Amino acid sequence: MVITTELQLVINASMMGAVYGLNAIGLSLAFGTMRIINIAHGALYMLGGYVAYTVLTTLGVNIIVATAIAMVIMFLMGLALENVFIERFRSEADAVAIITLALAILFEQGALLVWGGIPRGVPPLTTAVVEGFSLYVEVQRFIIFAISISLSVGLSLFLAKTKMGRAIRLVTFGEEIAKSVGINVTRISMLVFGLATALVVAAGSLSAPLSSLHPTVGWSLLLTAFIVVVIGGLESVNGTIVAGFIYALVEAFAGFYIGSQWKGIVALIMVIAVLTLRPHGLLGKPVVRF
Amino acid sequence: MKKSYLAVAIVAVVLIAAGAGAYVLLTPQAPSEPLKIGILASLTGPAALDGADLVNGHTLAAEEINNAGGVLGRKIVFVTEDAAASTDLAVSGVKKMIFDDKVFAILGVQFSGMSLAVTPIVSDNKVITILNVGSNPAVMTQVTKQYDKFKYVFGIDQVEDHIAAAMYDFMKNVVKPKSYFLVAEDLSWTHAYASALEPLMKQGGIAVAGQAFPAYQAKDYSSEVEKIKLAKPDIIIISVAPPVGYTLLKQLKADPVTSKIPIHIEWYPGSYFDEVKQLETSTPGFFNYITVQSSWHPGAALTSKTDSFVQKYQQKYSKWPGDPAASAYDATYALTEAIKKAGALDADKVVSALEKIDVQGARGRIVFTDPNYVHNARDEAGYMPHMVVQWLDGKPIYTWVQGAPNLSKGNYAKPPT
Repeated sequence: MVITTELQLVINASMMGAVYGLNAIGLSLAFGTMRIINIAHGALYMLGGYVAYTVLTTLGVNIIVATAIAMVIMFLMGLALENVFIERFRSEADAVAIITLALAILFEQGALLVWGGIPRGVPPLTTAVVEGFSLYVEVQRFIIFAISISLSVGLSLFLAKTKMGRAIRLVTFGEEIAKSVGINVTRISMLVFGLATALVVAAGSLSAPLSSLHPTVGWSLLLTAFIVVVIGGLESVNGTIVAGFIYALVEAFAGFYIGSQWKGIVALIMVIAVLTLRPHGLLGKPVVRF
Repeated sequence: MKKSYLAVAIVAVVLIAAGAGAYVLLTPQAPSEPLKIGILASLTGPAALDGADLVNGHTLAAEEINNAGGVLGRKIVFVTEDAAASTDLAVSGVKKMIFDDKVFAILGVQFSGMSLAVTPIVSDNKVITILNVGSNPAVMTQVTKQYDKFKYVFGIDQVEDHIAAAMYDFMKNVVKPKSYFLVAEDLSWTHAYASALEPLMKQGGIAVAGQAFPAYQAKDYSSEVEKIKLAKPDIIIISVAPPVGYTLLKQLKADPVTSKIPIHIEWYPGSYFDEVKQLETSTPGFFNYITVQSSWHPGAALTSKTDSFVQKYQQKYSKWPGDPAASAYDATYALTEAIKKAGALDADKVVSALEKIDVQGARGRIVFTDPNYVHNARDEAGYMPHMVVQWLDGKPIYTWVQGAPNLSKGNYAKPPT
């Protein structure tokens, strides 16, 4: 019975871990490439959920189609945000942090005005459950898990295998070196911010049927994203994906074996341990910038 | 010629001055300075929904009072500070209202921890404070133990061990489970009522199958769901406030084992009637058979004021009033009635008047004479009773009203197994 419980915890935590990874990956990408900390990351998660909700209720599509549409809309919004608010301050990390904090508050209050404070319920994709060997898998969670993994791995492959991806990676080594080989850093930054926005929006809208939408949902997810990124390695997309699973598993097992109150404490102990043993995160590498 | 001009000018000036003087003397006295009252509410952050509800309740009451002539000839003016669910901001907000805005009294306060932090400050400065939410035993016993210092603090909310007593009453006499599992967010008030509930339940033969206190605003409840499955309780008691409370409900409903266990909720419901309606639209039957306990549900006409309050609130804000709105509405009336009885804006006199007050509020009869917690409004049968609503097909059924079976509109229905 205990083994069944542990397996069930692994199943449920893995489903959640994929979403945690997807939620954090944009933060990692933006930090790695642009060296900015986007405090509005959580608010974009929330906004993505609401945009998908609006698409879903207006067009009568399911959450997956709504997520795809929301990703496109918010990708364009990400491009605009970068161009209007971030580009000119990109070299000043403090200024970007303050600007994105202001954007976060603006989005939160905007969501409150547009959608109101009452939490919005997003219809489940399906309520089907697959049972066997005293275990169960929610079909909906599994679909969300599969899409999250596909998006995360897709980004990883994009960065590794495509010309544009290689250009993005080169920018992480330094703007000057990238410029010297003819890369338009401004355009890359816009693209990265747009991609980061689209990915966090995907996490926000795919999670919506599992919880409920409300204007303040982003803040706790922002904290989780920071923890996941630090564990995985600040500039490592693959590390972030892995760390999402580790975080969710640690949270579930600590909650079960030690106590619910200890989940957060154990997660923070893990962060300290990782930073002590591997200061660049689990899969992060020291980067020499030029 | 010049002299006559001068004489005319002097006469004109004298006449104007006399006219002005007469105008001042003869016109009714200009309105007095407004009565400044502070509201501490979380208008941003995770408790923003309840915070808005709370401010709405105060505003509605103040409008009614002002339209009826105000308090001692003064209009009520609120100064609102946003605590954003943070104790630090609550402390700075209260200090600003006392020292900069010079408020006569403070209303609001949404968390027990916040209440503990601000009550010494308001007491030291003799600022009457009626805690709308967050009047837990640790806060209210301060008044009992150090009356002279803390006599300016009043509470108009449910006290945690009264919540526990009411829950026990409902469980023992209506649901009759053999065991329960409590999942409550890790906050001061939930620990207080969990501690009070356990001995009562044990005494009544209801075993504690387990307890879990996940963090406030947790995102995943997998470990709690697994614990419940192993514990096999007859009922799950939840005190995880919305909106994250709905995440827990969804996880419990998705699990083939826990979905068959009855759920009883005790939280401070904000506008949760509207939330249930919203969730039922997206997932019909989601709330079926769930029972929700509170000392406020808009629908049980506890007093002659209840229905009119609900009606006016809905007209003004286009939503159901939640628990914070109702208690805020009653707190505003209680304070202003006490000021009228005291006849002056003298804190000590108003404290004495509040101690003797007996008014019909929207939530019940407001009397600050709780035998165990001096200065807390009595939240029990005959005063502000606790009640239980059971949801069926998106409709609330008033299943149990403490000490007032005549107000119950249906029997508790056991969920199908």
